[in-house]
Amino acid sequence: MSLMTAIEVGASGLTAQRRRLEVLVSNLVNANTTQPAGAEPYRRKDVLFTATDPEMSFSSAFDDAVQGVEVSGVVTDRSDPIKRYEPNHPHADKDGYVSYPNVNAMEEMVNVLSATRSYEANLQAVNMAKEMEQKTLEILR
Amino acid sequence: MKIDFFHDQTLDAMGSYLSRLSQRQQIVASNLANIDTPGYRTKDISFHATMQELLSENSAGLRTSRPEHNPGWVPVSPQAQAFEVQGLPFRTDRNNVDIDKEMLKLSETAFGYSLITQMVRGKFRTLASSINEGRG
Repeated sequence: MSLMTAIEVGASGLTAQRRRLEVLVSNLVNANTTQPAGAEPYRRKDVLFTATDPEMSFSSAFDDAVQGVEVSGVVTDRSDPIKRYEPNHPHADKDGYVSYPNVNAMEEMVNVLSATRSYEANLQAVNMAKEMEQKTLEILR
Repeated sequence: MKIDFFHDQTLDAMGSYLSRLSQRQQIVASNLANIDTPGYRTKDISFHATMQELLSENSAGLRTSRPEHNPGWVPVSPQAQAFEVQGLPFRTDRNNVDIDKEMLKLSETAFGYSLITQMVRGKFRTLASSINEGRG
């Protein structure tokens, strides 16, 4: 409805990207987490984004076009764990293989960068909307 | 010359232009928030289409005798129509938000907003000046 909606939408983007970053960091820190043989190893996770209508919206053709974002779920990557031959590892199976999580550190770093850039873009949108509000107040001076 | 400050067409036009700019800022914020949402399509609102529409009706603009004359100030209708931007390349997740284009729109809109608020301030300064009989 107003610039407040722009701020709200920007904030929803900030929250969503922050949650994505949390999940990505959890992938990175668990890149080398192993489990005893037979147990399910850590699997890489990712978030699902869905466009949502902001809370302050009135249903007009224009307001329907303005959409925020939310994390609608966290999905697990079901691809196979990476097997490494480490017979002396305490979590090795009877053939000497250890299951490492299906996390590729390079891929995760790229995703972290993407999340950071998107976060910055949303922050910029919030700051611009704030600046415009400020300009409106300056008319009164 | 009679100046009716409270029915000032310029002021009305600037007011509706400001509201249109703030709506555009919302659309851009929405595009940026959904930059990683699969299937989201870039949206924008139109200034020129509304302008053309109003020109054809010519309800509030200056009367002109020839079609090539400038009809002057035309208030922008406060009812915005959002549309999906065509011709942008889609990524593999069927999202077509271009971060650079959106950042450009963001500063463009904020600049336009700042410009118009300055003009509105100028209008009010003129009024203040006439109230004070030109003494400040």
